[in-house]
Amino acid sequence: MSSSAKAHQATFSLWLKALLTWFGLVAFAIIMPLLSGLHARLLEPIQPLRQKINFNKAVEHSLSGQAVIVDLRPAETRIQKPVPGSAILLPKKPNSPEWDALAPLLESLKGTPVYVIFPKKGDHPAHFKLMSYQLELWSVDMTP
Amino acid sequence: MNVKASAPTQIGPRAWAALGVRAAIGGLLLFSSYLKLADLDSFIRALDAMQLPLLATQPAWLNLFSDSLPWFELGLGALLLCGLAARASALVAGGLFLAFTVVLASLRARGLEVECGCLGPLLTARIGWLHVGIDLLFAAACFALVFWKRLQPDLQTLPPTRAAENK
Repeated sequence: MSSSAKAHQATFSLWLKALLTWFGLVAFAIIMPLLSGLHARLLEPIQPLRQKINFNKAVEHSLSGQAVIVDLRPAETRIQKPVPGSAILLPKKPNSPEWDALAPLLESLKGTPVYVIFPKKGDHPAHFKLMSYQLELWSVDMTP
Repeated sequence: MNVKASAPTQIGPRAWAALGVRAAIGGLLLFSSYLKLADLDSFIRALDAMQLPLLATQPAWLNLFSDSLPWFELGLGALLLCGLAARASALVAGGLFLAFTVVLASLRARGLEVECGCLGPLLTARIGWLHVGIDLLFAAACFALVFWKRLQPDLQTLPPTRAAENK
């Protein structure tokens, strides 16, 4: 057998062994929790934005101080349909230094419903950053 | 009488280096799995906060993943330490660390302020580029064990067989 054929066979054998090792480890990892009885329990799962609220209702709650509104829409859309009262605006870049200034405010919102108005198209990077604060987030339904 | 003194078995520095890397990564995986198994609830909370695709929306998958990953790490660490299927295990470990690198980098890029959960309660620091770099380094070390010829066992340093001596 030529040396290149041997090398080819050795590489194939290595990948096959790795695949078998992986399957073996997956089987071991699935069986062991059942045998050991060790299971993780998630008491309060984070379920971001499964809760929705109508825009008018959100404004009503915001004005009465029961909740706060975070507006993630672009500036031109915000001007067209502004939020009565006040809304928190977040920087678009997740690594912006403005987040440091906003951190105490966001931390203080734990326990308060936070209504998020999303842009019509695309995602706002601040959405993911906001989720990490583990707040009670609601998505605002803008349809009239 | 022709008595030949047998030469002491020499292990080359490369073989020692490979053994050291394998032991370090195997030990780290064992330690990490132990910390996670000791506090599985913290681990599942850290995973949930990461809002990973599929795991964020399917609680059954999240539970399965958080229950089984520590055992996967434990098995892999044991294989690396024992030297059983060492190259194949190192290849799997390299893939695992590469997957960790990709996940942590995506979380960092999205700006998620979440805990890493890599070493259970011992490492509660928020994910930074340092975590990404460390995982990438481990992945590179594993792939070096597999693919870098210089770290393969040096056949010239192995003791000669009796058949070879008689030639």
